[in-house]
Amino acid sequence: MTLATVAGHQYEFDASIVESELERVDPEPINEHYVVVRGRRFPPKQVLAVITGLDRADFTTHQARAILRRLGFGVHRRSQPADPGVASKSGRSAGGDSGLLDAHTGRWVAQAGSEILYAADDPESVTHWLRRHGRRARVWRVPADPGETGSALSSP
Amino acid sequence: MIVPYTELPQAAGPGPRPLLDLTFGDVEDVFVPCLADSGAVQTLVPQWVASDCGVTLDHVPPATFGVGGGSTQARFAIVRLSVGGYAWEAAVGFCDPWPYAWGLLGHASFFRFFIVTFRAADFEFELVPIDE
Repeated sequence: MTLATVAGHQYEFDASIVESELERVDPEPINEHYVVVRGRRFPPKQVLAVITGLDRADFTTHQARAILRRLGFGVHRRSQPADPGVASKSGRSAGGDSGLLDAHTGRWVAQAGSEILYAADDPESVTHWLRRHGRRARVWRVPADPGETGSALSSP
Repeated sequence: MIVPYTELPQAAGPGPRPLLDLTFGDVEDVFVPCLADSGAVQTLVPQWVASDCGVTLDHVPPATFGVGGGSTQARFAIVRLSVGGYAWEAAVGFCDPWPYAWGLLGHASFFRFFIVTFRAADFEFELVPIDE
């Protein structure tokens, strides 16, 4: 249990309650800061607004980050803006996305560069999320087993 | 255009793959990853892509193709494809069921429009559009 005062009101926060309250909440796009809750990334102000019912204008990102960190959640800052679509570069590395994707195997994701913007159980939910937030991204189901990655001859 | 191979999660097996992010129809916000598959004849993608870009397939007879050790029903339509600022129109088969995590780019609707050079040692491939 964590006690905090936000916008003149005192709150008692519990990490497990925060997790359950966010289960049915879609993460909004990340601008700079994010907090990881059950493997999903949320803007800190979105999370604090959900768990307090306050307007986001009532507190700062700094306050939200501090409270969520005290609750034990990972609070981070994005290193660089994500690039949607085709990468175009040269080099001997294949991009290093393997670890990024491991957490999402079997799910449909919107991927922009090295960032997973959103994950869901079907492609329609992902494309709706992208359009709702005006974002562009690769949409695909992250393969969960070798059967989903085999090459094939597509002759009749 | 030089495109790095895409790494996959460990559960999907070893080896990064030559995936290319394409857009279909007039959709500009959804990129569909497709494997540059030099062994494929047709270009095939999952059916949700047709729904997303507004292609109507109701009156198109299906054709059966073998993929991934099973079979799929593909309905073909001529659509606009684009990648990296280059666009072309070609026949694409929209398939259900679809076993793969990505679409397949084959000779008929993809390779004939590009010079494709695979540099597997560098985990990248290069596309040069063919001026027709």
